[in-house]
Amino acid sequence: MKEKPTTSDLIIPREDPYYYSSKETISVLDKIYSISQRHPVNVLVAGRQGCGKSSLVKQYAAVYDKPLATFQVGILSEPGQLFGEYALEGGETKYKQFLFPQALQTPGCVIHLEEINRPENPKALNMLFSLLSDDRQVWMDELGTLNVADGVVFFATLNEGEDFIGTELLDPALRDRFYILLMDYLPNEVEREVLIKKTGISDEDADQIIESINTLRGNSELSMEVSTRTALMIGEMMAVGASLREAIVTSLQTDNETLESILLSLHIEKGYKEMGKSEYLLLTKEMLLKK
Amino acid sequence: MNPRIHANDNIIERFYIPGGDGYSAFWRRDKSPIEVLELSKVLVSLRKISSHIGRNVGTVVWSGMELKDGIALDPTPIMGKYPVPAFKTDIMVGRTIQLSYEKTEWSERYKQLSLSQLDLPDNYAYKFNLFFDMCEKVYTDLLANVSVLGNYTEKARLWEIKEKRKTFINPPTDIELYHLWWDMAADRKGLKYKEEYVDRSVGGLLERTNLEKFYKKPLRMLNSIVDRLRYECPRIAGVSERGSFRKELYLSIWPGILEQIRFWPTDRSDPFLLADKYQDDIEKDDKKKKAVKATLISYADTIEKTIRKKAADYTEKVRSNVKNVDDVVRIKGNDVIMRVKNKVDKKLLHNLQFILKSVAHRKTVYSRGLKSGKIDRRRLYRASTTGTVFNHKKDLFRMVNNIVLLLDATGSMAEPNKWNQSEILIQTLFTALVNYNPNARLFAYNEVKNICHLTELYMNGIFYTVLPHGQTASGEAIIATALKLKSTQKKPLLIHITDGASNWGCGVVDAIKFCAKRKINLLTLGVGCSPGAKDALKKEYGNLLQFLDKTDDLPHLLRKLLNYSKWN
Repeated sequence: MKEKPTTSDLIIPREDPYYYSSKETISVLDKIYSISQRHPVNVLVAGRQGCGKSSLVKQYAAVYDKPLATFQVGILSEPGQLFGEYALEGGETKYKQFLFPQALQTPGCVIHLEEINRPENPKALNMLFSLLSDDRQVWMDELGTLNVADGVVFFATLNEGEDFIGTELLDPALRDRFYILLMDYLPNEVEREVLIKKTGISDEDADQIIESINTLRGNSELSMEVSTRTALMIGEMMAVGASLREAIVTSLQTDNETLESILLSLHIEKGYKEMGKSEYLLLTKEMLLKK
Repeated sequence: MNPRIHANDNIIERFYIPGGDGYSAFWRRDKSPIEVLELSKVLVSLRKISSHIGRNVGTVVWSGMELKDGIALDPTPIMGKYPVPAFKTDIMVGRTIQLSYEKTEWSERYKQLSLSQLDLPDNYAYKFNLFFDMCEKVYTDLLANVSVLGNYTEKARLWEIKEKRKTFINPPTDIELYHLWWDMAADRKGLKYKEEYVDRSVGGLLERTNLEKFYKKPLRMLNSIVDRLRYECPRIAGVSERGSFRKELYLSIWPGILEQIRFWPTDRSDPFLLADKYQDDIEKDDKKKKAVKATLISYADTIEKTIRKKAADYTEKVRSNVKNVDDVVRIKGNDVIMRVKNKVDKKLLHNLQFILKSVAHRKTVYSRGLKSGKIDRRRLYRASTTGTVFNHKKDLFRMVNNIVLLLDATGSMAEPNKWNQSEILIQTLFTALVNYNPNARLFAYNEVKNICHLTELYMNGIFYTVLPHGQTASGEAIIATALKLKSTQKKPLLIHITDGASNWGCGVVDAIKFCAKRKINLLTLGVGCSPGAKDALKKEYGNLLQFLDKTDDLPHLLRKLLNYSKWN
């Protein structure tokens, strides 16, 4: 399915045919949509990295036929940075507007604020406060008054990771403005189905991946968090002919020593083994054609 | 397999590295082409393997290295080519598995019990030793065969049989009999021991040198116990019950075996039947082995240091910095550590980071020469040329002071709830600190066998723990920790977390003076203190002390301590 162009620079994303979510989450999203028909609404999606938060926002936009605009809050270091900046034009400094002002003035637009808890400076979010409050407008010297259009839905996502868990650490002034949606990894049966459908691997390979990531998730010594995203990366590697070992080695972001412990754990506990061959080949076009 | 040569321009298209095939190639990632580093890395890997077999295996070392309890492995099979090829690693892994099982199954203990029960004359005791050892080898290989580990023990077994075959003398000998049995009994398919022995060697085709006439009957006896070793013994719960079962099993066939082998030489070094007939050969082989081992012994220290830093002794240094020298207790570094779960309290961490940010130094980093952003006055001259007159500003926060946390891990902290709380506290505080100063360090001190041990609890992004134990020698621990601080940067910070006053060693008065002299801010945090302990701590530390009654108070107390240290 192709992405549908809209009248502006904003596009309606393609629907993911294999995006699964809990019944409760889907029901909540439906209610959010109903509320958005009355007035703009803000939703905070929290969960561990790689559990499908960003995909949920994208899928919401796709399912409800809304344009989507995504903004990285993590790179913001001062207020107003989302809206635009000065640049030279014909030898003169002019204010160059970014996509954000356009997105919030587009009716029904889904605005995704990624990693809302991680701006480089907490003050960088100050200009968002009034947009997310009942006012739904903000004044800027360069652009004048900006009003949030009807039907706009702000989705903010945040990672539960090393330095964050739950939503209680978000600035209360900001947190108060959001409905909260908590997400977690998919259950094994669903994760397996997603793996098969999205990567095209066989049932056996999917079982092998699920078994091995369960081993890693359950190993207190390694304290590894293997996300659904990582599982999909492993699956994609296997789909193009990589062995489980190759896929794990290339998909888990860790150092050699930990990787050795992980592989050893899978080797001994699960009995996975491959007799490796030590070979070095010439990498040239000619050699690739010979393969 | 030879590398193929390109016909046209003589370019080698393919290198096949012989010996690179092996089961260990599946998991071995941490390698080095440098001998000493590679030997260290292989050893670390072997330790991981042995830890999968059991907790009571002890330390795995290369023979020649210091060993109190554990396994000493002969490294000669893997020496010579680095990184060690997978097939050689497999052999060494197999050997480690065999020896680890012998440790966990108490083989040595049951051999001694059997020997004392039999009370054999020396020449038969020599024979029995060999018999028992081989029975246990068969047993450990059978244990390994039920899992992937059997692949490695098989390789080690076949390699050892091949090596031993070179030293066999004219048959019959005990050693040849046992190795034939080992090959049959531990075979992974589990079929060989069920069949009669057939000599398939070249010599076996001739009646005169056929081995069946010597070995068929004793092999039948030996094979009679394999089923019970294979199926019954592993199912017995309890290591001592399993040991007793095996001992009785071996002793049940020993008289029959002895009857057969009584007048055979045991092996080429049999001191009772061969005198010094093969002494020259043995000496020649020993010389070769010794030459290789000498290389390793010269590396022993380096390998130890590579694997972990050697425990340093700080006692003399502490003595030279206190008045009451006689009261100073021995203090050493310690590297016996256990990995611990990450117990960081996220909410507390968040609050601590706010506090630390307020005292951290801001460093502004500019990206200049951009096409958009904020106008950079210094680059306005470019407006008419490249137009890159903008910049982007980014603030970084860093604590310039060196920081060390020191945790009291003595007996008074051993109460599970208290220790758990302390670990949460220290891990959270340290995580917050390390964000603003990547060089921050974390230590704990406890007492083991009358020695105060100072242990580093955070290395390479991983938290470790020690068992809280013994008396509190805060003075020695503070001085030893302070000695680790470089005073090159701004006033270093030493944050000491304790639940009571020092009750051992030289006391903290000299330690406080020492820190003041070296311009180190010593701050003490009292955690879970009784009223009595609070009074005692106040007397010791004065204004450098804050008491933490609730974990949530930590950010506020830390601010107080940091502010105090700022102005004093």
